[in-house]
Amino acid sequence: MKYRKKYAKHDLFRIINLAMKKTIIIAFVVIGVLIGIFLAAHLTTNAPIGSLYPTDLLEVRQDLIKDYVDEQSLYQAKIASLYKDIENVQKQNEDIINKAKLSDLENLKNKIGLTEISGGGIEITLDDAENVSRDNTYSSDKNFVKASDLRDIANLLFANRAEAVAINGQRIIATTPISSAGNNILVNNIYMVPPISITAIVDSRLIDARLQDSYTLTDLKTRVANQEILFGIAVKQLLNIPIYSGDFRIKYITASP
Amino acid sequence: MKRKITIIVIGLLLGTLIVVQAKSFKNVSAVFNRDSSINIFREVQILKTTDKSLKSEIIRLEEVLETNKDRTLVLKAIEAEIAKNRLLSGDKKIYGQGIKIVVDGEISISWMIDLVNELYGSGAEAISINGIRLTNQTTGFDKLPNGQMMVNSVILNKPYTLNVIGNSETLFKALNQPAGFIPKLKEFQPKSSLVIEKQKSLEIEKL
Repeated sequence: MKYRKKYAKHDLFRIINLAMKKTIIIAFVVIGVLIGIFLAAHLTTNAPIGSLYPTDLLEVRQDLIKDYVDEQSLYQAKIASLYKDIENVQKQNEDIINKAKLSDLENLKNKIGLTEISGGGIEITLDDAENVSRDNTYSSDKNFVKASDLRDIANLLFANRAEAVAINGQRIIATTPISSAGNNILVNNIYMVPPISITAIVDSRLIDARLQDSYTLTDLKTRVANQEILFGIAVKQLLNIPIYSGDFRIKYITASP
Repeated sequence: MKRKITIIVIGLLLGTLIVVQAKSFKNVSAVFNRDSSINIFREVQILKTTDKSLKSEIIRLEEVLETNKDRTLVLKAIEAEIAKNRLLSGDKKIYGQGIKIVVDGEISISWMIDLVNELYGSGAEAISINGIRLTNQTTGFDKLPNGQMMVNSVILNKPYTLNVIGNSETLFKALNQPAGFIPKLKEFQPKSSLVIEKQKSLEIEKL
């Protein structure tokens, strides 16, 4: 009996000793992993940078972009004015031009985005989250309005029979590229930065119904819900969508005989 | 003691691997998103090219204006304008060099929108999908509840065939460039396939 008690006490000590050894091993592994994570994170982290490019290069870029944006605004205004002048001259010559031809021309101009369209519709506004700067981070930043957001919205509007769409005053036509360049957005290859205003002559009830659909613009809706970007929509009784004021490419297109 | 050192070293290695893996995954995600970040020099180059195109358009319109002012030439000028606009509007069957793209498998509407956008951004002049020309009247992909894609109220059956008129060499290179559309599609839509062929001449039907 005395021996049995002695052996039981001995077994208990052995079990406690084993358990302590296991705990120590686990503690060592955890400490090792934590030190490893700390060291790796420390060694692979770059020193904080205020910008991806030197300040002087950014200044030159900003100046260049400003020059181009100013010039392009002037050129686009000139193009719109030339189209009006041509139309006026054609009207002055109505006596020698077949009316059917003029009507044909007007109809075609309407189809390709060369007539101003007015009517009721919607205005969607998009903006970057507050306190973010486009000069400091990559364009993949979820707090920026992206070109793909604008593409998806424009597609949604056209798929729902929008008569005309414009982004920050740039008329969107079938061949309009909406792409990202650096941290910025190019629409019709014209530079623009948020806030973005998308205006569309469209049935507002139809768009409202489509936006309620959970499968529509899912990524955008998630980012808006998380306040990563700012989104607004307003019904407008009267909107004016300007004419397309870029160039048309027909270098490789030939009419079939 | 030796055993304890081994355990610590293994722990250190594990920790290092976790961080390196997480960082490289983050970098890959940054490169392959729907919007490619062209560098600032490319940005300036695009603006410069646009400037040039707008200047050329002004010169062309000034010439059109002068021709329209001449009463002996106005009729011809209008006919030329009608002919040009017909090519753009989709009222006429057209042809020209370009590329033929066949897309099959599972591809989302967003990626189809991006493909068409990438093509126009690379100089495509006209595009049709499964025989439907994309114009101002037909633009806009829609999805049916069963997942089928639709354009201009027409259901698109797979494989989707795109006929693209433009400079075939430029269009081909643009889609295949590193971090361009095709590498991104392979990464993010792995169940899709895309075959691209240069064509000396292809046709696009009128609407």
